Amino acid sequence: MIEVSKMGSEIVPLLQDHGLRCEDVAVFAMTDMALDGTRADVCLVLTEKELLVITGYVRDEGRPGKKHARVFSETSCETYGSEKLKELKVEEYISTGWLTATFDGEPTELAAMTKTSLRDVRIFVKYASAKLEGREEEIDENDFKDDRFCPKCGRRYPDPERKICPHCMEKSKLFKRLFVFAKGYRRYMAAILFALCLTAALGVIAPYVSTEFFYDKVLRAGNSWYGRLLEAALLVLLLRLCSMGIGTLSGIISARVSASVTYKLKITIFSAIERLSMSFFSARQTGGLMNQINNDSNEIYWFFCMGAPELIRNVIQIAAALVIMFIMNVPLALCAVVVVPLFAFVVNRLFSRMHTLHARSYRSSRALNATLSDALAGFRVVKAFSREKEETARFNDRSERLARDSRSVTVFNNTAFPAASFIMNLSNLIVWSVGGWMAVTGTGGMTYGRLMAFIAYSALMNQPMFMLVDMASWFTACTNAMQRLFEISDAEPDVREREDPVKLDGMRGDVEFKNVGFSYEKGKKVIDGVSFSVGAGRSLGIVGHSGAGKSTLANLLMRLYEVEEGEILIDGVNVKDLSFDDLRRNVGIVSQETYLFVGTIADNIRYARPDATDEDVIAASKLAGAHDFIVKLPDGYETMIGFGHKDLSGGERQRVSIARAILLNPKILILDEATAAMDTATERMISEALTDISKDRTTIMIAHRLSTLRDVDSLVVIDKGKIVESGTHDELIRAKGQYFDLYKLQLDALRNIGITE
Amino acid sequence: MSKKELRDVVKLRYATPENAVFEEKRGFVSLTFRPEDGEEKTYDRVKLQRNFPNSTPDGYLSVLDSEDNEICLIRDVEELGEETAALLRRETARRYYVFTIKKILSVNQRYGFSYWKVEAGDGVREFTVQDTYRNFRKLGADRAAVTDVDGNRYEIPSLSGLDRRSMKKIELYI
Repeated sequence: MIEVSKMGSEIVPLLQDHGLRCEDVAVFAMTDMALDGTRADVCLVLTEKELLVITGYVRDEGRPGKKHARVFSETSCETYGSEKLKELKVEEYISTGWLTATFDGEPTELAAMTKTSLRDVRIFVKYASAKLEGREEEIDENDFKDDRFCPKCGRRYPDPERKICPHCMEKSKLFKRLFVFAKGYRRYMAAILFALCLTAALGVIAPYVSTEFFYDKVLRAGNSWYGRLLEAALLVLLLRLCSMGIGTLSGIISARVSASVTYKLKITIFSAIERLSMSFFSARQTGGLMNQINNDSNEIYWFFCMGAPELIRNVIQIAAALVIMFIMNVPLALCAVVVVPLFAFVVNRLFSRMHTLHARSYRSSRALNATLSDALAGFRVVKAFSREKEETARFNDRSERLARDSRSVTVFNNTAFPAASFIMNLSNLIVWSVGGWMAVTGTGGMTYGRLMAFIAYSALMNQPMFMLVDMASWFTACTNAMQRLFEISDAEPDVREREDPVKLDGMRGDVEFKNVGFSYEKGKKVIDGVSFSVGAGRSLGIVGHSGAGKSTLANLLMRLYEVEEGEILIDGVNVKDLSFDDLRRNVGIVSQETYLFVGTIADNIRYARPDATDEDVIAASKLAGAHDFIVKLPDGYETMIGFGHKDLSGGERQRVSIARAILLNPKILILDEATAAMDTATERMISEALTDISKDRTTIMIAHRLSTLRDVDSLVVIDKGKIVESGTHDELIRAKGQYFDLYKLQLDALRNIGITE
Repeated sequence: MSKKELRDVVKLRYATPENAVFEEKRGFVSLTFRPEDGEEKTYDRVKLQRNFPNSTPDGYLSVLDSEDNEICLIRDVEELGEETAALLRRETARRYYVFTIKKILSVNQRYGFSYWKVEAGDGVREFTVQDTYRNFRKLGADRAAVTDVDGNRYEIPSLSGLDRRSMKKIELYI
C-alpha cells in the first residue's frame, strides 16, 4: 500500500466497514474539505477495482475509564469504478484545490481540499494515475517524508524551505557557533571581560567614596581621614579617571573584535552563497538577500559591540549594588526594589508600543521611498500622460503619512518615557522618606552619609533598567539575524560535484536527453519524459510557447538544476558524473536575461576567459555582431558599462554576451532566445555568423521566433514539458502539426505587414 | 498550440441571454455559445475567471474552455437571468473560496513568523504565516487578506467591522 497521508487508527475499522483490509488498498490519502466546501476529513482510497471517497469527520471519543479513541464518523461515500476513471487531476484555486477526473467519459469532481492537503493529493494523483493506467511508478521516498512539522514540538515549520522551528531553536548553540568566528581573539575577549568587571567594580566603589566615606569619615571629627579634603578629592578623581580609561580601552578592543568577527562572518556567508545552487536563489528573493546579509551582520555587530558589553557591565553593577544595599540596610533595600516589577512591566509595555510605532514609521518611510523611486524611474511615462499633479499628490500623501508617523514616535518618546522615569523616581521618593526618617531617628544605625550612599546605589541600580528591559527584544533580533546567516552558510548545494568526477579531455559535444523529468515544485512537472539527441557539431532548435519548459532544458543541461528522472548524457557520460570544470568550460550559454558586470566592455567579454588577447576579444565581437557598435563608442572596448555607467540597448547587451560565449569557445553552445531583442536584420546576420562558426560545435537554439531557427539541422517542438513533434523543418511542415500551425501563423503575420518569404 | 486567428485574439465577445446558455452538468458548468460570426458550440465544462476579483466579483467574468482559451466574457451575471446568475455565482464562489476571519483570537510573532488563531466562518482555525508583512495585504480600503505557508488565504471582509481586540492584534500590519 502506498500511504501518502498517515493512516490513523480510526481508518482501519472504517475500511473494514467497507469490506476492505489494509492489503486491499493500493493508494491512500486524506484531504480536509468536503465537496460542499465545509470542513471535513475525507479519505481517498484506491483499490484494485475502485476509488472510494469517504467523507466524514474524525473525533475523539472518550469513554469513562477508557483510553480516548479516535473514531471516524462517516457521512457519505462515493465509489468510482477504476476502469471508467481517467485523467485524475488537481485543480488549484485561491485557497482550495479540487480533485477532478473523467468518469465514464464525463468531467467529474471527486474531492476538495484546502491548500494544506494539496501536497498529499498531488502525490496521491501521481501514484493513483500510474495504477489506473497500469504503469509501474517508481516510489520516490521524498514523497513520504512529511517534514513540514517540527519533530520536537509538532508545530508547523513557518517556512517550508527552512526546517527551523522558532520555538525549539537552540539559542546557546548559535552563540557558540559565533564564538568560532572569534577564535584568535580569545585574549582580547578575556581582556574585555576583565575590563568590564573592573569598570563595574569601580562604578560600585565610586558612590561609596563620594558619599558615606566623604560625609562620615572625611567631614566628621574623630576619624583618621578627618579633614584630609585634598586627598579625598584626589581619590575620587583617580577613581573616575581609572574607570574612564578602562572603559575607553575596552570599547576600542571590543569594537575591533566585533568588526573583524562580522567581517569574517560576511566573507563566510558570501562564499557560501557563491557555492550554492540555483534552487536556493529561486526559493528566496535574490535582491533582498545581500541586503539582508548586510543588515543581519550589522545587527550582530551592534549587539556584540554595544549590547553585550553593556549588558554584562550593567548586570554586574546591579547585582553588586543590590548586594551592598541589602548589606547596608535590609528594610530600606526592600523599599528601593519594591517598584522594580511595576517599572519593568510598564516599560516592557512601552517598548512594545514603541516598536510598533517605529515599525509603522519605518514602513511609511519605505513606502515614501518606493513612491519616489517609482515616480522618478517612470518619469517619462508620467510626463507622457501628463500626470505630474497626481504624482505630486501621491507623493504628498505618503510624505504626510510619514510625517504623522514620525511625529507620533517623537511624541511617544517624549511623554511615555518621562512617565516611566517617574515610576523610578517614586522609588527614590520612598527611599528618601523612609531613609530620612531612619537617619533622623537613628534607626538601624542610619547616618546621613550612609543614606547618601544608599541613594547613590539605588540610582546605580535604576539607571540601566530601561536598557535591560529592552534587552530581550535586542537579543531576539540578534539571534534571529544569526540564525538567518548560519542558515545560509549551512545550506547544502543540491547540485554537487561527484567526488571523483569524470574528466573529458577533448569533449566532442554529443548531447543526449533520455526520458528527462523535472519539476521546480513537487508534483508539478515542468519537464516530462523528454528525449532527444544532438550529434557532435550538429544543431538543434527547440520551439514552444513561453512557459513550455524550453529554458529549463538549457538549465538542466548546464546542470544548474538536478534532473529528477532520466539522464542527460554528454559524449555518453551522465552530466552528474562530469567535473564542473569540464562542464562549464565546454558548455556555453547565452540566455534571455543578459547580465553585464560593472567594468569595460572588454572585461565583460573576457569574463569567461580572462587570458584572452585583445585580438581574440575583437574576433569574438566581430562574430557576435558587436564589433561595429563598439568601435563607434568614443572609448571603444574600454567603455565602462554596467550599473551606473553607459546604458547599452537590449540588442547590444545581447551581442556583448554572445561575444562572451563565443570567446569561451565551448563545444556545446546554448542560445536561449539570445537574439530576441535584436531587429530581424541583425539577427539574420548574427545567426549566419554563428552557423559559420558552429561547424565543429554542437548548437542548441531556443526561440519562439521561427525565423531564428531556419538553419538548424533538426527541431523539437515542446509543449507543457513534453516533446510533441520532432524532425527537420521540412518534415514538420509536411506533418502539418503544431509546428506547421505556428509557422503559418508567423508567416501570416509577416504577410500582413507586407513581407513575403 | 491551437490555431488562433488574429481577430479571435483581439475581439471581445460578451455572453448575452440570446447567445449563451449556461447549464449545470455533473457539478460543473457547461456552456452552449453561438458567436455572431461563428457556429454554435457546446463546451462540457467551462471555467469562470474573475477579471476584477476584489472590486467586481460578479462582473467581468472570463469564460474559459478546457485549454484556458477565452470563449466569451460576462459583463454582469445579472444580465443572464436569475437562474443562470445563481449558477454562475455558486461556481465562482466555490472557485474563489477563501476563509473568512470573523475574529482574531491571537497572533504570536516569533522571529518574523507569526502563528495565528482566528475564528473563521466554520470554527477556529490555526495557521502559520511567514514574512507577515509581505503576506498581509490590504485589498481596497476596508478589506484585507493574509496568506499562510500553504497558500491558503484568509480574508477580513471589513476591517472597520472587526472588534477592537482583534484589530489591535493586526494593527501593526495595516
